Amino acid sequence: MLRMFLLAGIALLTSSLLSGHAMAAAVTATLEKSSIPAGEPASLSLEITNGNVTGITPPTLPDVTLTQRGHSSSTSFINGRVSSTVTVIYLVESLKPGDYTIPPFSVMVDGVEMKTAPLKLKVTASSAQAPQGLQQGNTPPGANAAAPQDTSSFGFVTVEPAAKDRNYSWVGEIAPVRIKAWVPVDAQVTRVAKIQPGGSAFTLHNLSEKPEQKQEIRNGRRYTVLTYYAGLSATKAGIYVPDLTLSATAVVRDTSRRRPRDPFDDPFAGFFAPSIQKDVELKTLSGDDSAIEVRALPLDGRPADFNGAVGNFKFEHLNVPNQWQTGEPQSVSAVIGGEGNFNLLAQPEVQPAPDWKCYTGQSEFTPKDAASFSGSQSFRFTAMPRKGGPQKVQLAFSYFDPATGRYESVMSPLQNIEVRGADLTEGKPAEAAVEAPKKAAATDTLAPLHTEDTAAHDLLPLAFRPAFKFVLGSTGALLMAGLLLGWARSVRHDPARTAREAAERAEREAMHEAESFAARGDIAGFFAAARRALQVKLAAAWSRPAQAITLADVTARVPADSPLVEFFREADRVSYSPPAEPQAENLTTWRARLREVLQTLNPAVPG
Amino acid sequence: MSVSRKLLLCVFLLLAGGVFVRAAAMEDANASFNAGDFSKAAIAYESLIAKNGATASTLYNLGNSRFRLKEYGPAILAYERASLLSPRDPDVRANLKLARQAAASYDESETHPWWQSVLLALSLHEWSWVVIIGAMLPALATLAWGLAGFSRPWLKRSAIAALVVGILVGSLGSFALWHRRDERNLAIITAAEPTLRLSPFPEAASAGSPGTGRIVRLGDRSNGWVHVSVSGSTLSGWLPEKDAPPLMPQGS
Repeated sequence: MLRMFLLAGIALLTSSLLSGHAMAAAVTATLEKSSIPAGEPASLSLEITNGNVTGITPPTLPDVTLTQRGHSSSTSFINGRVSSTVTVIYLVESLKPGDYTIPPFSVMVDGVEMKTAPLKLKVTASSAQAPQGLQQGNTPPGANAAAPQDTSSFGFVTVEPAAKDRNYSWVGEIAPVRIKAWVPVDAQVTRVAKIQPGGSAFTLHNLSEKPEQKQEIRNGRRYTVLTYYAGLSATKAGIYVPDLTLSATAVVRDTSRRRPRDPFDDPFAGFFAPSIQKDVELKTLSGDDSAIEVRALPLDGRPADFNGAVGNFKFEHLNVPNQWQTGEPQSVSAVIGGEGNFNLLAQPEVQPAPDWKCYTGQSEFTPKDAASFSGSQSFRFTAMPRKGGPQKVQLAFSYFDPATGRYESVMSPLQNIEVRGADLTEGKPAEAAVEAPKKAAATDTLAPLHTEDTAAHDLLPLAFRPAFKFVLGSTGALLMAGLLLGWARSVRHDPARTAREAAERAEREAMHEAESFAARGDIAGFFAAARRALQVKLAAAWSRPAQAITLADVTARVPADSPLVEFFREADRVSYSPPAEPQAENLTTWRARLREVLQTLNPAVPG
Repeated sequence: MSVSRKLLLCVFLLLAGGVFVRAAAMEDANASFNAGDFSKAAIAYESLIAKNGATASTLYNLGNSRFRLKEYGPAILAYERASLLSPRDPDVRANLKLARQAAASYDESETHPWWQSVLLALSLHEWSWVVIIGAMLPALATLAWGLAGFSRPWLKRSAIAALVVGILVGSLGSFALWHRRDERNLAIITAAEPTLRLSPFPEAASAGSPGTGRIVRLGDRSNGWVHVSVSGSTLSGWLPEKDAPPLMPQGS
């Protein structure tokens, strides 16, 4: 019976799992709200269940913007059915009131195109506090930069370059910018996250952690302005809009839960509507005026030692020793200050370059402003002269000046130094190896092919391979083995233990001898052997030589009426006047007493 | 000739033959490069790597071929991999610098304080050996003490020195490996016009264009896409996995 139930249960579970795998894919799109005010976004969820999504084509609709916000996925196992769901969140927004029908989303699921049902969206007129120029088409052409459109009632982001003398940038140039997040004072924004760059070719550098906060009036509206400082750099040439997004959490009145009524029915304009927290995004505005032209660095005139530094730099401090020896390296230090991308500033070279060999050293940057745009970089490296005699040397580096659009090579003042020793001969293998890249850089061509092949190696470093753990485990085992062996050896060669074992052995021998004498009735022999056994036992306890323990010693340490003293006294007496005949019967008592005394001496002997 | 000698001779001939074949393939690839057929050279170098494993020279030559084809992202990847095997090769460093200049993908790694420069002085592979040597020294010293004891003072002094040096060197190596553990997740963008996406779909909104050859840190993966963070900036987003091959093999 039990077996039948088990079989039935397994069959039921199997059919459930099979049916779970066989669930059909489905695609649904749902709107959070069917009616929204102009300028406020609504969340649209696109759910794809039980299928592998390979592509999504969102619909396009004039006057309605659809922005992807994020995605999530989940897998559930309910009543034996496996169900997987991918949810893609979009924000739907329109600035123009009206009734819209959002066309279907096209989703490729397991190679099959599936479409969602169309969605109805009503966009009502915006609230009375919407700033002027909110709606599309009301803004005068070219007014974007001066009066950005507030596409969200929670604010917007502006980017202000510090250098306003030119409207273009260079690849790699870090332009210091002020990024302002404008939040209307009546918008309850409770928390702001870090600014993220959006879809553009710009990257943010050294964004200040804590923004400055103050209130400003813009276009007649009061804003709380959070000002961040950062460097903005472009990675490739072109014309781009610096697109930045600031995520924030705002407290809003959830008017959607109230019945739509005439505004005159609600004299408090939604004041008593429940408050909810909502994630909002403050964005920069796209427009021709905010686009920045990014120019590629020119190839003409590019110095061989140029490493990508764009800005304005100069030597602030130098330390070149005056006395040198050919072939002996010494430390050289230099501090270069200025403004720009210090992280691409190359280590200065000692000139004339053919007479010197410079090694890559250390550098450290000290910022002078919050965005780490200006500051100084100190270099410390080792140089070695190849040529002897008095010389005039200088340090040199190069950079690209974005203001003039030209490469600049900076030379330090000439310094007289003395180099002792003969000129180094060229052609040493190590020297040649170091020269190779310099020659390559100087002619702007690649270093030559390698003709000699080396042994093949795994690209994965040893530390990330299982063998590394095995080797470390083996060394650990060796360590433990060494410790165990050492412990065993120290135990084996312990002097106290050796002495104790020797004493026990001597005691056993003496006792054996005493028993032998007793059996033969040899009183003198018995007492001599018995005393020797007692002396060995006492020697171990008192840490004295066995032969040195006499009746006097025993009497001094042990009470006079003790059996031990009595035994020593009798042994002395017998040794001085031994009996003429064997008296085996008398020894029976002494043998018993000897065992008793040795027994009492086992734990410890007072003294 | 005994059987063992014949076996040894066979092994030697096989190894020598393998080396000869590899050297010949390398020469052919180099000849294609020198003749200006960079595509053929690149394919030949890749085939060599696939067949015989990666060597610093092959990866370096592959980087040169990609550079000449103006494929700067793959060139940077090949040079970076070559520098994993031969970290102080001046040719590799020079050409890597040229490739970065050509791709406008300058090394934007931050300047390091002196102690980080020490940790970066050796490759991860070399630091691994430092850790092993650091662990072996105390282990061998302890084993010698366990087996024979220190009958002479100089033996004891040597063992204590080995113990101290081993612990110091091993600790430094372990710290270096720990500090640089994330390097396993580095990758190079090889696509010519890469676009980071907000979500792992081709139609997802753009999160930015980092440029080819940039170093990125790999994150989560989803359906053939990988989330990357661009080194030296706050830019991050999803890229097809094939566009951001990792510097080191993954998964083991």
